[in-house]
Amino acid sequence: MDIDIASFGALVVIDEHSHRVELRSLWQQHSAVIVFVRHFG
Amino acid sequence: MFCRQQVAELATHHSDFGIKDGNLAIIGSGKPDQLPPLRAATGYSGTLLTDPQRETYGFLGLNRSIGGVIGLKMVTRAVQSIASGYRPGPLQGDALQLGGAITITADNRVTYFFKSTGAGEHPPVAELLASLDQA
Repeated sequence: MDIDIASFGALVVIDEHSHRVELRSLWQQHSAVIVFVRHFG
Repeated sequence: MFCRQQVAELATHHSDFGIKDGNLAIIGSGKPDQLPPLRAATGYSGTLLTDPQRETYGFLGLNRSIGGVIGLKMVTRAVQSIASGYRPGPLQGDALQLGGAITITADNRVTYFFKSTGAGEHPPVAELLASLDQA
């Protein structure tokens, strides 16, 4: 699967303090393993 | 219940990702105020985020279907999960959304990609850790 990492990295998620976090910040310094869970239940 | 079980399993391996210079992050689709209770229930202390609009899920083409969350396999996994001590909590997020995983290196290479095809089907922790060996 071809993934446009630049576009993916520009997406924004939210932390528990409701702060916006740009995805690319997760792999700026080290490799990131990002796990997407179904839901929080 | 599958989610809590998955996060709790990742919590027990959190330090292993750090040893390999990897940054483990978990993303869900609930509300931000649902993150602290998930931490408390699972003991996970790493990066925990949410994407209520599920833009990231959509971008990666992660599956979302009713067929993925009902069926014999799901029932079997639910029984196994309950037998392991995990009870279902209140639903917090999109009930039809399935999960996945991706590993991205600091030079923007993808070394691992996983799309769940059913509830309770998680990326094996060993595969996630191995994806860091290609960094």
